[in-house]
Amino acid sequence: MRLKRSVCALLAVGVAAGATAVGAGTAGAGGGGAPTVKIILLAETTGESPAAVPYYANGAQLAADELGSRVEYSRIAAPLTPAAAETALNQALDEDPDAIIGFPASSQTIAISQRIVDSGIPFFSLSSGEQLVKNGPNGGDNIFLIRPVDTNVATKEAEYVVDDLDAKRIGMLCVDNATGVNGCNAAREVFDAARGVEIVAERTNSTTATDLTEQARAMDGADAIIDFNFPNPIGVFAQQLIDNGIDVPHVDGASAGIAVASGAVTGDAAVNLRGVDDCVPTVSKSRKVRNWVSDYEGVSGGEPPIYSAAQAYDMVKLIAAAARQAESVAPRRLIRTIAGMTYNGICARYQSDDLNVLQHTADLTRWNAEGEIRVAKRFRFAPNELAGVVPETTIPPTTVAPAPPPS
Amino acid sequence: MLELRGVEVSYGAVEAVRGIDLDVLEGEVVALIGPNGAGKTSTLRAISGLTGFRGSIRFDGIDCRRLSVQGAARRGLIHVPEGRRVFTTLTVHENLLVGTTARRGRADAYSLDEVYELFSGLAPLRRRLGGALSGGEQQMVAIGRALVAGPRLLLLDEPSLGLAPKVARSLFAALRKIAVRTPLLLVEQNTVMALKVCSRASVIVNGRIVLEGSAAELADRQTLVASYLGEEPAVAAVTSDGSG
Amino acid sequence: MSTFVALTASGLAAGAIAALAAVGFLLTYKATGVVNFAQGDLITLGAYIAIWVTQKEGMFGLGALDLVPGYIVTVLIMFAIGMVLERLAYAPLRGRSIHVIVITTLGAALVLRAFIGLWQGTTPKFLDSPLRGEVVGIAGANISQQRVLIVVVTIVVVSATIALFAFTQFGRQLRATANDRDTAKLCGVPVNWLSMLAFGLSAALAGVAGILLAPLGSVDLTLGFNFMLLGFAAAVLGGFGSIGGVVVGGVAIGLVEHLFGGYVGRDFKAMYPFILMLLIIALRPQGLFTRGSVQRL
Repeated sequence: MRLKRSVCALLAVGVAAGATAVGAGTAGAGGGGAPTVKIILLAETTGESPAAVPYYANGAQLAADELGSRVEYSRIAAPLTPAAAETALNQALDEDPDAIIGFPASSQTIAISQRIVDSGIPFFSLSSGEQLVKNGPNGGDNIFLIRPVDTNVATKEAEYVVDDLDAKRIGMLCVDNATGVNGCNAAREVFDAARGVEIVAERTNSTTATDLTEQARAMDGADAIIDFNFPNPIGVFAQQLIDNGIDVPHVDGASAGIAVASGAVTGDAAVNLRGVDDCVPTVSKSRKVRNWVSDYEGVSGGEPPIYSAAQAYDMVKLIAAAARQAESVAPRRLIRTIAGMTYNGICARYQSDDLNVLQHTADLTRWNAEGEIRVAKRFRFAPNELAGVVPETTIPPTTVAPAPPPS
Repeated sequence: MLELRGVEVSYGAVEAVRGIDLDVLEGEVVALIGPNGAGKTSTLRAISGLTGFRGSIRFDGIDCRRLSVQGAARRGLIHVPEGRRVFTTLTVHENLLVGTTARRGRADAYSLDEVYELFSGLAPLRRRLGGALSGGEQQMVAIGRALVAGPRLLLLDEPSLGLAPKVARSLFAALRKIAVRTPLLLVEQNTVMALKVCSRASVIVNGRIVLEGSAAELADRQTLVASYLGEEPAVAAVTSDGSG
Repeated sequence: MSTFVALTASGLAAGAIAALAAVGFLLTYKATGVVNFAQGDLITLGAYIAIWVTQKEGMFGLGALDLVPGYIVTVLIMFAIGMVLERLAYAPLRGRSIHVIVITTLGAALVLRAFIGLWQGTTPKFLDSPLRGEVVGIAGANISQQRVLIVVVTIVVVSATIALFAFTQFGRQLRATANDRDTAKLCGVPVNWLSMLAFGLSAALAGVAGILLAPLGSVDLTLGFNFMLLGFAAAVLGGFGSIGGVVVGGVAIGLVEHLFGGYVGRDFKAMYPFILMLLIIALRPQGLFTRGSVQRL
């Protein structure tokens, strides 16, 4: 009799589960009661334009392959211009997606942010301009920033220069676009507020500079140099500092890793250099991350992943997890669920704050003379923290990065 | 050596040459005379390949359609175009050196020294740019450039055009010397001078050959030739100094 | 004083690369009348080919070449690529409007860039140099030996090109073709072959520029673009006339950018060469070193 009761109970659970699955079927037919979630990635991959990188497409595709029928994933090549971004967004909206991951350049997202907000569909921004936070001039309830806010990272770098390097005389180099302007603005605030710290030189350079002799020589006398730049100028600058006998720490952002990985920075120049990445999957000690790196290299033809590949992967997984948790793909339900959930990904532990920023850590990286990378320090950003150095009314134009966006 | 049969040249709807037959034999100097717009230059351009044509043109038995402009030149069909067309940014000597390109081992080609001897006025100018020369000097360079290529047949387009009579006379004196070694097809408006150099001549009007014969025959029919050319007979009459 | 020397060295090196690009422009322009705006991407391609032949696996997995033999092979490959480019991209357009040809050269530039992206990826790469990290002290300034090499190689290459133009039958034929293509044909000059050789030489010069430029930093798809612009400005200064003229134009461009930009209005450094170019176009449209009039399009 007891057995019969147990069988009846099991049957009841089965019937209930079946009924749930049928109910969820209106939103999709995924396994295990989770609805199928339709995700579109708006990013180019190698070959689609000279500036395109493969990381977003490879990372997202890897996640979609692993999730199988739980996601309906597709990618629309969105060229790195605001006008082309709008076309790509319209294309995506025509396909009635449940979530969109998109736009490596903040200029793309900022230009059409109102359209994104109006759509109400959860949008996961691959760039983290300060203007895009939830209450920012270009933000909205449905726009989530995957990465830590750029200017917060710049602030942490500057604090590292002052607190960890104990530098008193600082040289600054700022690439002549939003990356450099916003980064240097944030850093300057820190230096101005620090006691006994002096900016001995502040210079700019173009993204395509191949000679920074004047800038390097201007840094003579600095204890440390902070630099918001692109990979090519970093390579040139790091070497010219050494050529000119300026052998001091040189702190940069995500582009530093790209510059060193290219082979352009070695020896003393590499030892002096510091970079900041959202994460460095290739040096992780975690078995989960190491396995993921191996899987990624399997789909990328052996090219190792960087943070952006891990973040694209994580976002597809996070959205699928949110849909499962919400048992729905309705936009409001998804947004509410994502806002309240925590997700342990490959790159980071994602948890939305009031600004809709998901990631709150970044890694300070260093290299040896041979260019081998290591994580030297982890930056942690307090929830809802914002440098607030980008004036709302004067949004600087953001130049499209030829490589993964610098910090 | 050169055989034209039913050659027609058109520029869009305009027919410049309307089916002419013409022969140049070994050792001959043939003149093609006619007024402006008669089709003389178009005929020469068709022969050297600069302009497309209908009909048949054969040089040394080879269908000229099968030859590129450069290929025809390398076979010794050398065209001195209207208006001299010296290379203005090259010196006189360099112009002549470029002329040797088409020589292709022909031993009977004029040497550079022979050209300087034939046109003695060029020798002191050998370092001067082509663009800094007078019209007569440019014509000497153009012909000299053709001679060093070792022409088996020289096509000359209006060599006297725009030259002072005295200069034209000395040029034709040189052409007479050249004619001893090299067959010529000479296009000229200056009938009198042309007939003095050539052995045979054809008169072309409106793209058709209207009169042909030996130089002597045509010289005897100067009035008729002049009428075809639209000239006054008095102008066409041979004066004692040979100018028209 | 040491800053002045350092900036002069930088200006000369930048001017040298601009001059190589400008001579490349001039070669194709002289031979075919085409201003080849793909010259910048040919510089980029040269750098990537040099990386390809000297990397660990080498080209087609044949093993790495040493740097100097690798550079030579690169220049030869670039020469061949230039010849093929002339046949595929430009020969079919001969006689077409200049606007069509200009758009085509820009199209060729984009195709080249996309090809490099597909082939080598978009992650920056690095080309090594035997002089990497070496500096020479001049009047208190440390000048990287790579920059000295750039100037020396440019002097040698440009001198050889000038000699080729002035003293060889090839050079005379090329100048004759530039002067009057039809008459050159009548002289038996193989103008099509010459156009191919000119494009080949131009691409080889771009290869040399890429090889010299790449070791200064890392190599990405935009490496040559800026120098294409500087080279064009140098060619405009030289009036698209003589090689000497465009080389002087290149050096002027480099010195203006680095010396003027080193002392005055540093933030606008990149603009100075083009301000100079616009001034020259306004005041002396035929260029600094060319006599005669200009044709307005």
